[in-house]
Amino acid sequence: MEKTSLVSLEINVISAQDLRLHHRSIKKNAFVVVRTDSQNSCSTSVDTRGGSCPSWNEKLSLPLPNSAKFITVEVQCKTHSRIRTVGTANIPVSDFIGDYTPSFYQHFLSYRLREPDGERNGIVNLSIRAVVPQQYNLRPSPMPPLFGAGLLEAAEKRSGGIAIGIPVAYGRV
Amino acid sequence: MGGCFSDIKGGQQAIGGNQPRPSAMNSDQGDEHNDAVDYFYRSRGFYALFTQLELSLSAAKLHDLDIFSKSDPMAVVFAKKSDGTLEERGRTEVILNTLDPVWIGKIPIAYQFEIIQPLVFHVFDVDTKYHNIPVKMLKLNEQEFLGEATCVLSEIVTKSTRSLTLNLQSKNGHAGIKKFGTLTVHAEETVVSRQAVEIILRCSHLENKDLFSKSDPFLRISRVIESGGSVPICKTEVVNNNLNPTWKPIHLTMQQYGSKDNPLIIECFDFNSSGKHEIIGKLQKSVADLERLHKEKIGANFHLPSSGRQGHEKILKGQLFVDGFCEKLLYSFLDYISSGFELNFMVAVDFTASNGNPRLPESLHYIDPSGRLNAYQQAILEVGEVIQVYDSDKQFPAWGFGGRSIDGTISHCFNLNGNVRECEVKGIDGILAAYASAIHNFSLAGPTLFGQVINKAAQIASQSLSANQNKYFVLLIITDGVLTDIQETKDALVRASDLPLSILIVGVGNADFKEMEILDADNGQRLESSTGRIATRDIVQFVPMREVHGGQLSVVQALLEELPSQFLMYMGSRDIKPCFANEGPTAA
Repeated sequence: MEKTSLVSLEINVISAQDLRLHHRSIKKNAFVVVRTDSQNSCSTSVDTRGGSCPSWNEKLSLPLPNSAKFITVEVQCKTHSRIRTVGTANIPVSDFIGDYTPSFYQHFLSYRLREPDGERNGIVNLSIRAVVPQQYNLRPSPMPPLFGAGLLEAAEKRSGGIAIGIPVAYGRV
Repeated sequence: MGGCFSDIKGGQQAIGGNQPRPSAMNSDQGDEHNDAVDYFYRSRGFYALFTQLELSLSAAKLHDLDIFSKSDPMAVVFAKKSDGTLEERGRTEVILNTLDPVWIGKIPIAYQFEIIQPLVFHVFDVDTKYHNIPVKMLKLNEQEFLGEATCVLSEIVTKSTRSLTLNLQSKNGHAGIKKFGTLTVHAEETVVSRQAVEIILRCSHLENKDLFSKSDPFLRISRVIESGGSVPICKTEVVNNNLNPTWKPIHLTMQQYGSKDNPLIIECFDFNSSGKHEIIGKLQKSVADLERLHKEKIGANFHLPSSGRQGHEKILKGQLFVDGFCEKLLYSFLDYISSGFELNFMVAVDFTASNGNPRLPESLHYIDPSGRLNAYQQAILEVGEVIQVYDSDKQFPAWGFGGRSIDGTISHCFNLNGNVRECEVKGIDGILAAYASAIHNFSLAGPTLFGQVINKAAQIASQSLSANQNKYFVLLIITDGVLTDIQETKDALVRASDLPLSILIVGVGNADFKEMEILDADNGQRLESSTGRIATRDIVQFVPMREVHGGQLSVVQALLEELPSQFLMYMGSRDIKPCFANEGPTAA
């Protein structure tokens, strides 16, 4: 029951900027993996030419489990020997569902990538649109949102909000 | 633009084929990162901010002044300047013997979004003895005056027919007993062709011109003109240290390249910060040739005039490839407006204590009984005056922030009209009246926080999307002080950055507004929220009121200049076309 999804996501992974590995700009072969839960993930093809500012413009389709509170976007890089993770961004579901926009709205979003130890890396740009079956049309306010929590609601009414934790390893945010 | 290479920014910016603007240049400030999202948005419809229009005039039921025949009317168009004087813009021809003339002569006017452009029309009856004199030489005070009409240019362009019919009146404005007839003004954009091409160029095997690193190549595209010379129309950005560069997509409008068969000269230079850029190679191709190169996926070799033998060109190893070629239609701001898109105006006023006790004349909120407007009233009037023409129902949400109501609670988003449920007021007069009464009913408190009003405006913008996507919202925030919590504001702005919303901030008084300029993001730094989300686009314009007094550019102009391009970028990025295009206003 927990794992069923009413909603599927149409994600267009557009591009990324300023990607760095070990403090140096990456040369090529970046790609993106998008995950909605441990079982659902999808990746883009590898960008061979863009260097540290690759562009993919690829559409990925993923189901969004009802219980999901955020989705994960990971930028990885294929080096000679192996695949390295450049950075990860966690996108709260409330950023594209349950705010006051209509369900068919295409959200253009950008996020700061963080390395596993919390250090900042580049930026990833993508667009997300929720595809909701007709009978469950997500109506915006005044009805309460179905998924996540609208960040635009007053603080008192908020329930099930999302806390983003960023490990403080270096003392600077 | 053109051959101006002397500054680093000039060489390093992606100019991308835009028409030069008459006022201050505002191109994407060069930041070192190739901003992929920036080009993704700017690639749709960044159009010149002033549009050349032509006015055609006709009149009906003109007053008959001649005894034996009908009047011989001619019309003259004036622009009313800020000091009230009239400046003639043009006149039509004289049509003989008619009271319902349809003039052929068109009067050119440059439409500018950011200013109110009052026009005055005078119709004259030209006496027979002047009929053989060229219209230009006629002295207006020697002609018989038939009537006068006034309007504002934006009123004409917001009509779906782009035509406005006005009643003619006598010089002192009375219609009187006599009927003077009507005048119809129709506006059309002279720029008819919306054709443009978007091309992605790449080079391979460029020659290395730098000593210790590789060349930093950029391209310059020029159009060959009749006299044999060439006029630059476009420059790419500089790609550092790369002999096989790919540049960001370039847009060329038909106005720039003429026709698809017109030869274009493409030169590749190595950028030098000294300003002396060294030429790597050049070639000549028309737009049609570039299309062919793209289809056949082949490259064209650059060449250089040979130093040895005269007239011979040395063919280089370096090649040009066209990786992308796409023809598109660029729509202008006016295209959207006249097809039914509108701007919705919203205002938020600072009620913090730093403004000073409103009862004292030094206060920024002092309401002068003599009628002199304070800084807040001025800003509301000047900005509202321009935008309200584009708002169909003239219902404007108006809020205050940082004020304390009678029951003692401080609110950071309260309705100026005192009504708990409805935040809207009618017309600019409604805003000014609500403001004046709020000054009495609320006391100034603080701190200066924008977050809640921005969230409220964002909520309204989001909710309107369910109905249709042809409304764009403009929030004017007038404040006297520096923000107390800049991160809260950044968070609200980032959340609102993906919505059809622009935020104009006017700083009044003498505070140091340096921090506010961070919000404006004109330096290329995208705003980042505390949750790691980055602003999709730059939706803020900030101007301190005191920086602009007199001179040519007013506060309003500085604030409003960017608005049409922010609007176009939003519509373009979502592929929302004006209603007259095949698809409707809602994106698929």
